[in-house]
Amino acid sequence: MKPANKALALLSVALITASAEDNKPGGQEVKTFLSCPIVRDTKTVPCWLAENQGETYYLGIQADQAAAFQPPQLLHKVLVEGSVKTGERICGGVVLSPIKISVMPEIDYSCNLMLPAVDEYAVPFAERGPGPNNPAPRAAGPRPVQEEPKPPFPVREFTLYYDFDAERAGRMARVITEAMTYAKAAHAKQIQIQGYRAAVRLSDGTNLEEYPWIAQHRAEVMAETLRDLGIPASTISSAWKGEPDTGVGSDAYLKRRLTITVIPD
Amino acid sequence: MTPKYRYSTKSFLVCSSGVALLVTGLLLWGSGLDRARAQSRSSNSNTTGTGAPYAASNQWIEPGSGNTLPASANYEDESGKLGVLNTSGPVDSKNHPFFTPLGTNGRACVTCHQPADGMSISVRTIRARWSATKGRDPLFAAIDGSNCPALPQDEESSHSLLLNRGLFRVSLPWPPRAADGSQVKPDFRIEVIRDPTGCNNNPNYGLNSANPAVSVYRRPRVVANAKYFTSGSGLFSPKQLAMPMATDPETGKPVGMNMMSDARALTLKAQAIDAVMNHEQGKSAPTKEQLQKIEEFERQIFSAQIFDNAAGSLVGEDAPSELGPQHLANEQPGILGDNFGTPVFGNFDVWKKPGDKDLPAQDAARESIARGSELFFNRPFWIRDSQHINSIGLGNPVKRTCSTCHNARMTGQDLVSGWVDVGTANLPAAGDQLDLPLFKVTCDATAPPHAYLGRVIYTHDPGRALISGKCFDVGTIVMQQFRGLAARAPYFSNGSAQSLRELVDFYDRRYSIGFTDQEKQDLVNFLKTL
Repeated sequence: MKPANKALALLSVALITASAEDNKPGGQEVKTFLSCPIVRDTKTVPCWLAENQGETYYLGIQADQAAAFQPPQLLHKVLVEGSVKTGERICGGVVLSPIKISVMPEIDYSCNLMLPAVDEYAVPFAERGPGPNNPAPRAAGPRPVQEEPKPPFPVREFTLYYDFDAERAGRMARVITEAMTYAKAAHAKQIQIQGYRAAVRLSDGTNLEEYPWIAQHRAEVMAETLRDLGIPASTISSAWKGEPDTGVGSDAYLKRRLTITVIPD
Repeated sequence: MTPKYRYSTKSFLVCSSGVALLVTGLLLWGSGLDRARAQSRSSNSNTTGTGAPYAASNQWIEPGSGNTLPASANYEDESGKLGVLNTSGPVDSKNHPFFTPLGTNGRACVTCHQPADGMSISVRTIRARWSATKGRDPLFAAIDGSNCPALPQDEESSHSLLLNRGLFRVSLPWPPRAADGSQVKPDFRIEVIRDPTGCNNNPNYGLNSANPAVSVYRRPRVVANAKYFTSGSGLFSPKQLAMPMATDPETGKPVGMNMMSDARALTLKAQAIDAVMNHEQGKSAPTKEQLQKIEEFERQIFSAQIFDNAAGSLVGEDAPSELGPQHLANEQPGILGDNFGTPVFGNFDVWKKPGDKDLPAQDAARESIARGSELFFNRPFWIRDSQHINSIGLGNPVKRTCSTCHNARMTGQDLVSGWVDVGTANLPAAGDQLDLPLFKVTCDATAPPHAYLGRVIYTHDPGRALISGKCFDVGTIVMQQFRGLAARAPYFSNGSAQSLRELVDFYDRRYSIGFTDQEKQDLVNFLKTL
């Protein structure tokens, strides 16, 4: 077989495999792809789209920082991991839900497409427009006090999940707080941090690996974070796994993780 | 035509003690009036346009002069009058550590934080001091009141950044040091590309000196309304994505991380120590008692515009709801203002509709201010490519308003840890400003990059990155509060906007907003009332 034909055959196998992996038992097709995000303006807040293999997908709309969906960024590619919601389109794109996106850290100047608002597309379900919030604000006063953990204190493991190539778990502050609170309450004699590096199988069959150093960075940043939160440095140990664990389908993000194991006194 | 102003009995009584106290303040303070400063500004009557008395204004407060600062005083500025309120009553400055030189160069805190200048210092005042003292005022101390101590100090050109932009030299150790003195390992290296002041390449003061340091040039921040920029809440900073907020070592409570251009001092006391040791060239840190007294003074002083020459009183019954220093003293910090329930600077609706037909000029001014408020609060535009704004989960671009970022009720800072890169320090948005140093920052290949400038960044001031050592913080500057703007030009941490119009023009260019000339003027008129 000529090299070119061999490559085509391998590609076909890969695509077939990928196609099979894209279909979950429940019937929802999972799409995993890397693409430039596209922002489409509307009369209210913009919606975010991405194209893959000739199809346009709807990712979500602009909202607040605390919203479940945080929009992607122009000048950066976005890793999309979502399940196709059959038959529904928003802003002209096939809806992916549930969906996870990761903003790729490196700049890509080719990702810079803004589309104007047109009557055809609207997002009437947006909870907030582009202006100030309405109705009344959430008071920024004291937050609810987390319940103090009580004995017995078994060994506990806390897991944080990351965006692709991200060394900070921006959405996991609650888990970090829980780990910190538990460690303090249990007078932990040891806190073991284990950082992981992942890869994700894209829908086209290719693998996308995280930065080689990301597991170490995750572990080191978390160790610093726990120290800043008042955990004695002498009790914290860090380790990391440099070889990537490959994730596939809707659960692929679970491989991009870090664990904090609290070993009580 | 003689302007007429509406007013109410409340409009000028910014302290409960009222007229008697104000007059007392005038008498007490009058003896310390600096002639040169008085000549530098237009002469000042002792009444507002309403006929109400106000305390002596246009005063340079000399360190160690020992006078008493009135409980309430109004000072003329370029668009009206600034109100300064001491909620604890008249302040006796004799031996008070805020007003007394604690170091070796004759400066005190008040040197650079003048009540008449909104507790900062304007270029207008700086130039007046230069003229009055032929450059011998301690304000122009070689250490940081000149472009570099190595320059000939009697030459005006050696102080050009202070005289033209209101900038003081801030020398920061390189590599950075943490609050506990330990060395921070930066994830970038820094080179001096252009050194117009000569300090960054100087063998005694520069990057290659025995004590390597980076010289950047910054405006003094406002030392008033302190409860707003010191208050903090929550364990984590929204800016740094799960980075813990710093805490006050005394109380263990989170701090706002909104103080100074780079948030390097976490508390008022820490800032005072930094200022005494560096700007006052202290031999030793202030005592515990001195620090306590400085903090107490700074926590009780409130400053805001109180009278607008065109619109009249800003604090009367028919004025918008939250202007003037008394409202700042009354309100609580830590409240989000990016909403219709508790808008950042209150409600200006009262000035949206025409009022007295006999006062068309005043009505027009008030309507313009109300339109400016509406533009600030409620006019969406595309905010993009701004580190720690677009990069923290809002998306790039995000279609929002000025009040999205300037969201802290009453002051317009960000509620917490407000260092962002809107492009005042980093190229290309900042433009190449030839009188400022230019640095090239090259980030490690494994460092998380600046989201919109990558790993090679040209900057006039690395900002927060000189403290954190993080590539993604390069060029990020802590937002300044909006109060007393009319009294303390120029603006931005590097004084790059000489006027409020230049400030508005910067944002218009930076975010391609497309304001009309009328809209720009409305915004300027609004900002002047804060």
